[in-house]
Amino acid sequence: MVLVVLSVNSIGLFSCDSIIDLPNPLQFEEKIVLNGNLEIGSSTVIIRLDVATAIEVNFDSISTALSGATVILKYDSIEVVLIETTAGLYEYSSSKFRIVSGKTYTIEASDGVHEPISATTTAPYPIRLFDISPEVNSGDTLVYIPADDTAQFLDPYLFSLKVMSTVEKEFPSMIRLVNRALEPNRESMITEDNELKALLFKWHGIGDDNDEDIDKRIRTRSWVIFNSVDPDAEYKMGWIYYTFYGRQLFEVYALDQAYYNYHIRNIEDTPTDPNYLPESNVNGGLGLLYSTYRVNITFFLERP
Amino acid sequence: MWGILINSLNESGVIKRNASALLKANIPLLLSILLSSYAFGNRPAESATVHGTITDASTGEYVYGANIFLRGTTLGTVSNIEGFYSMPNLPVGDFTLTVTFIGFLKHEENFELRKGNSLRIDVSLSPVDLEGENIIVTDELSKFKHNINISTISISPRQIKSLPQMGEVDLFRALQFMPGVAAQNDYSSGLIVRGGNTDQNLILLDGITVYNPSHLGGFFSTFITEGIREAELMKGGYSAKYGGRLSSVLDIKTKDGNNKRLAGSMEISLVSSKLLLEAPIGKGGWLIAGRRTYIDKALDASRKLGISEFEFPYYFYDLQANLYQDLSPNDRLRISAYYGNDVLDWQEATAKINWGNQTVSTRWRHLFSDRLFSTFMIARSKFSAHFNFGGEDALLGVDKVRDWTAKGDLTYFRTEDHEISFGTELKDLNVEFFQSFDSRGLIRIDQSPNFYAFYVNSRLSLPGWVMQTGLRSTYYNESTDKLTFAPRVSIKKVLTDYNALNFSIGRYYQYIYTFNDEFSFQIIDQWFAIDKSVPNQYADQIMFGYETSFAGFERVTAETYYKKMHNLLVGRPELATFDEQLLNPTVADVFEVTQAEAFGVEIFFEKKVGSMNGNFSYVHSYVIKQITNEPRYWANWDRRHTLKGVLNYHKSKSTQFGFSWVYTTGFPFTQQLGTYAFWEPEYLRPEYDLIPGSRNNSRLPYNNRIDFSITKHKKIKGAKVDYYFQIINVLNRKNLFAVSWDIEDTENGKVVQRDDFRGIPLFPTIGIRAEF
Repeated sequence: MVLVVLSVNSIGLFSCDSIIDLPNPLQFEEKIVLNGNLEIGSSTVIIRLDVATAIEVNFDSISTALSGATVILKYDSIEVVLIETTAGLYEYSSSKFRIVSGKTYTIEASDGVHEPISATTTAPYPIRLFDISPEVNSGDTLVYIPADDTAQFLDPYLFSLKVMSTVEKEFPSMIRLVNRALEPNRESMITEDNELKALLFKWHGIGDDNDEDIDKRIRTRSWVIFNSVDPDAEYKMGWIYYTFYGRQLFEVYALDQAYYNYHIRNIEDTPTDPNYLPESNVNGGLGLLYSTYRVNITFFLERP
Repeated sequence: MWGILINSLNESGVIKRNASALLKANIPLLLSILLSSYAFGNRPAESATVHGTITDASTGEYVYGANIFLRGTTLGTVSNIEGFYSMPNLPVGDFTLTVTFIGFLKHEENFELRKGNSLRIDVSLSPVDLEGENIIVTDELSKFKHNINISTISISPRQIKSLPQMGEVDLFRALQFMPGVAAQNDYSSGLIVRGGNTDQNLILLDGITVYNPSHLGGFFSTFITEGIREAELMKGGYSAKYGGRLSSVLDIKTKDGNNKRLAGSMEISLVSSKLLLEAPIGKGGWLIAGRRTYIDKALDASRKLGISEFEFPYYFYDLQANLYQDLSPNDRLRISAYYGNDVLDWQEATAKINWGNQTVSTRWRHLFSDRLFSTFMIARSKFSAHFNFGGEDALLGVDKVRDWTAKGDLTYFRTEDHEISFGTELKDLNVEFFQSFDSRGLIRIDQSPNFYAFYVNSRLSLPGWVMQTGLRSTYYNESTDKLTFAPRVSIKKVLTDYNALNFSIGRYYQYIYTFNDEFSFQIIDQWFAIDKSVPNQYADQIMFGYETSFAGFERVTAETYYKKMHNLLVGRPELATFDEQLLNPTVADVFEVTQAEAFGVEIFFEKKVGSMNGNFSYVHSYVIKQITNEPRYWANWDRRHTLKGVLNYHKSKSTQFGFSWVYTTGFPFTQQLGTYAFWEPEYLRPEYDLIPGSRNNSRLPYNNRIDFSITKHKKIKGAKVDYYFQIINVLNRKNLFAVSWDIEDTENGKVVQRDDFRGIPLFPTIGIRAEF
């Protein structure tokens, strides 16, 4: 009797797999992908349209580009049509048009095949850099300070700075600091750092690198990014930001709420959680429409 | 069928109503069962009592679970964890007291009982070789008839040491070979018991909660196997004595210390060295044990010799010490302490990490009378972790749990077949979690909750039945629902000798939890306490089982279980990188509420004695979770089929072979469906993000691992010396346990590539251990 009960119970359990009420698995849908960055002060809007690619398909930026779509920009009850300049790239430009802080812009796109999409961004307020210490201006030359045995992430640093909004209580949703090396190559590589620290924090070691390593370093370390949401932070531009000597473009972006929402789960720009799609503001599709204000300083980084 | 039943129960609210009824209407019912059980087992006024303690003659250690009975009668009992037994209300007359326990010679003693006698008979049992050719016949019937062991696994150091191990004998890894206990992967010693998270296991070391019982990111557990006397894992249905966790209790008892002679053991393995010494002192004994790894020293030496440039200054160590004195035949005072640390001090890499546990306790065992046994304890347990990465101004973190516990447990032996236990536990907790970057606080959590628990538990043995009823009530000051009641009932129907049906139902509450959910890998467990922003976590468990013995297997069990877990917490994915400053957030700010259910069937065959011994099990199980407002999904540790086997073959007195085998259904994972382009403001070309499919809707291939060991036993100058050679993953199978995704450039454009994380490959190890 006992064995009968256990057997019946076991058979019941064995059949659970097909009975348990889990939702039907998601299937791949080919959706329109919208990407666009509206820069405050610019008289041009450039939107990139692609289509999503199934996991098993090889792709590149040419194969995913969506041509022949109708793309409309809406703001202040005005509608303008964007023109496709190259495959997947849609543009509107006018000397009478300026992207303005605090204003809301909507992009709508459709191609008659995929589900139409729309996305809206509200442009952030401008920022300015202050308390830059030591003072750095565009065109200056800075001497690199290598990481020695005692170096920390942010020490030594070349300069420090703070960021503020030009409009009180309107600090942007997110700040993005980017240092871009404009002349990355084998000869301009920084090789004076402590080897272990360079290996650990600049990702690819120094010394015995082969061509592949160097190519990878150029690809991945030409620009270094730091994100922040703290209006009171003091940013130290430490040795960790620099991998190549030569001309550097230091940019600070003020970003809107849509950008913050998209990145909050994935702030380091790599897919970290395989269970979630980033929170996109593109209704009916994928991608992100956001707006930015940018401040930049160009300087020359000299070997010590 | 089962699923339909559960769903229909869920949809109609039956489970919820029943749970509610358990808490309200059925509490009086439960109390009435507790009280009515008092009516059973009364004996005539002409009665007497026999009581005493059972110890190991070679060490003086208490023997837990010995069978004690009066030959030729049905009267009998079982020794408790402190070796104590009491048989009150016995009839007068001449009797023979028989004491048996597996691994010891049978002890028999004649005595005469007269009216009103209270006779103390302390028994020392002589150990024998379990693995010899001669099978020791033990009479376990008394234990079988008096105890309810549903979902309980006992494991001794001897069993742990007989398993092939990854360079280090380990209690948790030995438990992972038991049915219903799953490992997250080869690299983790964490215990997933019947689908519960790793933080749902109450880990007790001599009654003290240990909060982070692992080293090397979970690779080894913190306990020194040689210092363990007994470990008991209760996978569910545990009594009201225990509380504060949803899934299981692992109750580890360490040795008190040898009060007969100076004894010890040592072991040198590839990973660490261990030493244990114990000896008598005064009217008691002491024990001290230590272990330290030497990966750091080995790498240092290899660098100095120019063999390798690799540097990794990491090590861990454990120290355990016990001291006890018998103040009188009825009083034992014991002080015990544990101190363990993991240390990574890598100055050049600006990495400094230090984490570990410290526990200290004072325990008083007192016999108020021949019927009233008690233990009282005051203990302090502390876990602290400090980490610093990138220098003092970069990433800095502190994680601390401090726990002061006072508790008392009393057992009243009303008759030889009825005992009532009751007790109380007071906990004062302090939790601190802090992270900063560039001297800027990112997150700070300070919590100081405390809770007070009271329990009463009755165990009644009637002819053919054992009934255990209990109620645990807890007052937790930081909850909206401060006072909770957790009723528990277990019933055993003894059909014939060594044939019984078991049933258990109960509710279990949990007030603290870790950030370690199934998605967030952490090197250490970060504990937090719930607050008023989230509901209490609780689980309802129901179990049904059959136990028997046949064909040489002393224990064969088949159990089904269903566990519904409410209000579990999972870290909010948007806070995974702590990009906002969170200063004293509520729990709801950081965590989302999750529901889960687990159910399955376990079949277990165990043979403990003889030249060939071991166990074999099959488990068919399901674990389903649901985050609020999201679809249900298979939990990461959902395993449909698991087959496990452990076999020890003593070819001769000097040669022993060991095999262990685990086959399990592949782990669930989230298949990615596609990719799409994404442009950052500064990018000159697109990057690509992935489009995930349904969570955990796909499965990796099955895992299959066979381990092997050979041990040579020798006697050198009176010491038992073992040389062992072990191979983990003999088949060198590339077991997959997780995947990640990457986008690669090829000649034909970009392609999404799945990167596989694999378990331990073929891994041989050698070692030597000695006991004297």
